[in-house]
Amino acid sequence: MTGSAQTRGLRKWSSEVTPDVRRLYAASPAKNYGISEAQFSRILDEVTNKYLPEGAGVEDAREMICALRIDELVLARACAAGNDAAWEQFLTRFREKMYGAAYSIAKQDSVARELADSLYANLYGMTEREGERLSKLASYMGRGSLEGWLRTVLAQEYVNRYRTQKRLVSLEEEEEAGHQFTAATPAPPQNGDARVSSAVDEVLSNLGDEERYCLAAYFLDDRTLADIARSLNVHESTISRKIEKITKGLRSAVLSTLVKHGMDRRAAQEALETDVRDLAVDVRARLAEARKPAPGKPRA
Amino acid sequence: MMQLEKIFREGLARQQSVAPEMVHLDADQLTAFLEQALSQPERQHVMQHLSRCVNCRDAVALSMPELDLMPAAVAEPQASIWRRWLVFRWAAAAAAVVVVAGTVTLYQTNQRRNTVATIVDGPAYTASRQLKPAESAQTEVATKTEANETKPADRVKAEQPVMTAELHDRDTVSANAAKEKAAPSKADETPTLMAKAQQPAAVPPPPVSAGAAAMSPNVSSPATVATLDRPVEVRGGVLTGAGASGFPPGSGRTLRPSEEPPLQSYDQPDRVFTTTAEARPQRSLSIGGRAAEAAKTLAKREPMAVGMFAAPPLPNAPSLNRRWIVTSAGELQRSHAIGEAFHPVHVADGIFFKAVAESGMEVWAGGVGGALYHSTDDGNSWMKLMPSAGDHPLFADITSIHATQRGAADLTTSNGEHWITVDGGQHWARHE
Repeated sequence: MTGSAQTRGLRKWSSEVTPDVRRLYAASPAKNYGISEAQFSRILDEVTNKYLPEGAGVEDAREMICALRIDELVLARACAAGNDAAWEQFLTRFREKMYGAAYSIAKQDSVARELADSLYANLYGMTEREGERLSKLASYMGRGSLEGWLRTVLAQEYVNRYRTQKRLVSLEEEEEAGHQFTAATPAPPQNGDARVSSAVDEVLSNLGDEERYCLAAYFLDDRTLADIARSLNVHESTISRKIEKITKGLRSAVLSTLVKHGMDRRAAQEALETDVRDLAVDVRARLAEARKPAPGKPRA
Repeated sequence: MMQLEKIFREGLARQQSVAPEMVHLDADQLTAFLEQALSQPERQHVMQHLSRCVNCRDAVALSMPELDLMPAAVAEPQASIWRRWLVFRWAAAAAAVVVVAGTVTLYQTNQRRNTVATIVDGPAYTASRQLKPAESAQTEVATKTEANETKPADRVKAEQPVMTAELHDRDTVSANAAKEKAAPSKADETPTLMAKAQQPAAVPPPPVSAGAAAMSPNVSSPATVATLDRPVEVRGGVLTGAGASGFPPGSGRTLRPSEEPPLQSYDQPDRVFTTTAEARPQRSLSIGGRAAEAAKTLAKREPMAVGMFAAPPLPNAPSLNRRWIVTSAGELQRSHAIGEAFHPVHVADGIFFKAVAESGMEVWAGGVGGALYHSTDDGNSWMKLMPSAGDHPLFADITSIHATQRGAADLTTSNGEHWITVDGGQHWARHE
């Protein structure tokens, strides 16, 4: 833990938040699971260290720890420490839900069971470091529900496995499918098409994050409006109107940008109506290029 | 517009971050995002990442709970709500007019025909006819839902009375079987044993515990309560005698030398196992004697069942495959299949269970005050056991049970004792 990280933790305001920590400890089942108040305080310190932004005050820290799922947090940490009573509780409450989540993610019985078993092994802790068992449950921070966290971990594992398998493609199968292995793609020609791509890039960069998320989920991931709405906790009609509004606004913005860069309005309109295949925009090459790191890189 | 969409699609694809060193959002952040538990700055940061990371977007989409578990979405914008209210109002008025007109017509028709309507449906369905169409659909759905929800519990409870009746029948059958088996068999046997076997009635009936008579019908009947220090004659591997009434032949109590290795530890050259009162000091498991052998047998613990999963068994891990648990409220629960929900199993009234162990179809459940129950048919029927070693009965709370092979169990009590059996609870050895 770095020095700067320590300044964000509860220790910075120990005298001010101690009553809150004590109150949370007393109200939680931590004692039943063999977690002392000092250990409990260290857990909360770990959470605040990780998630409190720079310059956060004691009120932010207090708000964060009071919003945590304390009961589930202590349960997870007690399981990570090997407490039998905690494991009994965990299996009683979450075993069925783990399998259910795996089924809804994988849609296949065998894959789901493998996914759930793999997660269980990670949760229990198959590896040790310095004599201490490493359990994935030790990384649960209580920001969201434990059930939701388990579901997300399963989803992430599934995404990792699926994308790994997609990358490992048989060359023979590719040849049989008629795919040819092309040489390096030349740079796109400098013509009106490049100006369209450039204008689109500029306009998309000026979009808000939520708008870009909606467009990416809808156009790139082919998610339904209902799914996007659920992820943002809004109504489906809201997302429908939002995407419609964004795409209309994008067209106007791209046209304006093209005109601003010296293109005739009529030519710009024709350029937007031109077949994409003539644009010579090689999506594969663009995706294969290394992009700049995502802004707002999360703290470790 | 299609062309425009293609242009935007490609533009968005260009903006996706594919750098391998990119750090993805952790599960806590994604979960908190979906559950609206992030602060505004955090949410903005997460949204920023999600707009450029297809992996994290996929994880979000996959980890969303089922539709009925999602928190209620934010209310629709007011304009659409108002429009819908108007439409609903007119639709309700139209429906009311139709219902009233239909009712009046029906009444007049019935009056003209002067017939008595016979009710052919149940009350619920008849009642639904009186409701408005929209409400009747809801009533039917609610009725069906209610019926479905009661099914698992009803199914569990319905099983037990039937099993109890079977147990009663087994008692009768076993008593008759005891008489039939008293006839000489081809197995090696001594004349003394034959004489005893032909007079099963001579053996006094097992004592009935005070609580047994008060037990609910779902519990094994008093006649099947086994007291472990009662003499039980065993011939050719089959239990006879009054004590055997608690162990009907078909319930797994039949002991055959070839299938029950622990029992072969009894020194019977003719392979006839006798546990009469006079032989008890040699037969019963006492500390230092047979208990040592029993302890050695139990020391060879079978590996925990892995089930059908490919993952290797985790050392000392609580098994994910187990189907019996005890809740913090002392309730015994069972899952019919791995991955399915747990349902309460009623064994006896007033028992606070603290430990359960399973080994195949055999289940041991123990609790406060030395309460101990044993099932050999996966919990469909139960036998109340009262372990005792000599004059020392088990009265402390049973805090853990370890079941290894069939008929063998190792109990740990709250006062630090270990109780071991290798013959399905007939005899016990006590260690402090």
